[in-house]
Amino acid sequence: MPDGKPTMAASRQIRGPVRSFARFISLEFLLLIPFLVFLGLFEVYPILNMAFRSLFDLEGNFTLQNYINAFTKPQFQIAIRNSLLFATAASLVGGIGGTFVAAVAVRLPARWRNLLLSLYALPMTLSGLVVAFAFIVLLGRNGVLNLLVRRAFGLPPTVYFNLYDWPGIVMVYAFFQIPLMTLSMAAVFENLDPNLVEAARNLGARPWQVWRHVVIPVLLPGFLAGMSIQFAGMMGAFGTVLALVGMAKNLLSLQIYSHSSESTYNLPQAGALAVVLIAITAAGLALLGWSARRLARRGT
Amino acid sequence: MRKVWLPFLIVLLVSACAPKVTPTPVPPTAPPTPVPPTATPMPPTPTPTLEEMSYEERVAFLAEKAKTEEGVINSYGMPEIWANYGGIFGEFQKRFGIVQQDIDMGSSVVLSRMTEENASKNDIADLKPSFAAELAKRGLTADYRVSCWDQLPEGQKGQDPSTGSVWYAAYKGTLGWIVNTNLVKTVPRAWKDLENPEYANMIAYLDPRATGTGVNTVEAASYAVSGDPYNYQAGAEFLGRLHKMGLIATVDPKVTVDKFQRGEVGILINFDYNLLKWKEELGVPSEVVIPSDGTIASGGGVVIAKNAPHPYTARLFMEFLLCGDGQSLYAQAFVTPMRMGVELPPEVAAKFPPKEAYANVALIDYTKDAAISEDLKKAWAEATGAQ
Repeated sequence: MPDGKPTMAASRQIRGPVRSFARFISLEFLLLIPFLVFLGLFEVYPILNMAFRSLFDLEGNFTLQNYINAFTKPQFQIAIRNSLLFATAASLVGGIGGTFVAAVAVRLPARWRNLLLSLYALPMTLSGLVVAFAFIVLLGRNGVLNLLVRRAFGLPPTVYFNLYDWPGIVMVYAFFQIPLMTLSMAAVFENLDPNLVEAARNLGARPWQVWRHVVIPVLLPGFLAGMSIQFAGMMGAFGTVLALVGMAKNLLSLQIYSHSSESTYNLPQAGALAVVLIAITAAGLALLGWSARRLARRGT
Repeated sequence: MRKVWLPFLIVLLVSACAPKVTPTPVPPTAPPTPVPPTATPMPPTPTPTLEEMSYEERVAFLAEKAKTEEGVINSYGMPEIWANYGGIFGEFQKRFGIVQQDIDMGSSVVLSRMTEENASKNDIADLKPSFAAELAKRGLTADYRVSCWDQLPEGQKGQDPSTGSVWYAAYKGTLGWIVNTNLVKTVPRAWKDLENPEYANMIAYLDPRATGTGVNTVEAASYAVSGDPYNYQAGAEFLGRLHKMGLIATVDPKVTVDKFQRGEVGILINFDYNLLKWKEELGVPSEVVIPSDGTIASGGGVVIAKNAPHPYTARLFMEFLLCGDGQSLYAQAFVTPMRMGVELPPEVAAKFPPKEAYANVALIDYTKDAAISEDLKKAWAEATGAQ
């Protein structure tokens, strides 16, 4: 990397401790280079390239049409709306569910807690495709659970839990999201000072008051940080939906997939949609981060 | 994290399959770049005679040449569950020891991908005839005419006058649907019957943006609703209504029977040749319906890639498929073969829906199909996007 050399050359003119410090810095920097190169090649360059290409039409003329399409064409408007609603719903389900599981988990004896948490790491290693098919086997129209319930109550086959609509899809994602949230919230709960809770109790607070005035304010920044991870993940959620309903549901991520690889092959349009997706996610994260900071400031 | 698995998987698959093909050790006899061994440009082998050879001579010649080509054939869009390709490539392997490696994709993807790759990664492909003709127009298919060229009906084959590239329709069928009779109590007999809340989350069809069958589905619905298969707006709106009613369970970007087989969806729209085979093989109590208010029939196109990594293998396969036993292997599995004189065996024909069911079928005109395909996809995406 050329950036390292000027520092080295400059360092020769400086004496003593300053020089060794400069050398130390440049060494650190050298160690960072592989990471920076990786980041540049696989993160920054593709995003810039994509954003750049999204400004041209298929013939290579400069245009903003792809962005105009993204906000005016009904199919994209609905995709944006669906993605926002879906990401919010899935994050809330995951966030709230995960928080409660974490609250229970930290009260377990260490051995059980560790077992539970390591079991919870499992879903995150599974491919979305595998999980989708597992849920079809378990909860599909002819899935084990539906069959059992129908048998047990003598219900007709028209009665079933519908895995192939939004509630079903959100539920499948909860399988990933709840453990993810649990893992991040478990750490937050562990850091919750029990003295605070005891102090509140001693001062006569009822359990719900303890939650409302002590526990929740302390947990909220961590909760919001966890929610950011959830929301960012869910905005791009894609593999499991595709395996469950194919293109029958309209999500921004599916529109991008459809435009880039599977069908219409309109890369500039896909690029524009991806930039919109990134912008929405960034805005969501900024909002969550801002409220977390505000709360943290108010707390002190 | 997990939602990036799928694209990764695809990329992996692509990269796992593709590079294996590219660094082909150049066979000693072949020219450095695989120039098609046809009569036209700079023949390195005694090619001028290939044109005069009979089917048997060509097969012997090509099989000999193909021995230097790794023993694999790379195909796009020819999965084993489609049009008996499982059986056809099985027989091809038995006879010539050549193994098929398929990457399944819809017609649209084949078209754009072969264009992107300059037709240099795959040997052969199956895609809808109008797109096959489009590939020929772009000069991306080989200019090889099979030995039985004259026995293929007019309009079901073509050689582009400017590029010399050739396309074929190898088989044909009629669009209908298969109904799981365990799951669906009243079997829908017509497109209009589908508009029934009873079929909530029951129906699956292929994505028109990705697949030719998807486009044909919109055309068939248009024909049923408006009497004109190319009045795509009518069909797109009809399907949009089904989506709004919550009847559509999945729209698949490539052909799959998993959910139908598991009883997750009860009505699967596809071509009759696939439906009849699935009825026999999937073990699902089912019925094949040709909608009474009208549907379409269309051919299935096949091409040899212009810059195929295994050019002789590709030509050998095309001879086998179109002029050899490939056609009767189609026929044995309900796929109506294209070559004149090859008929469906009577015991196979007997399993088709009765002749009357086929009374209201429009044969797709590939030129008109090509003209509307792009607008059709947009109309469909807009009509069904409200989900």
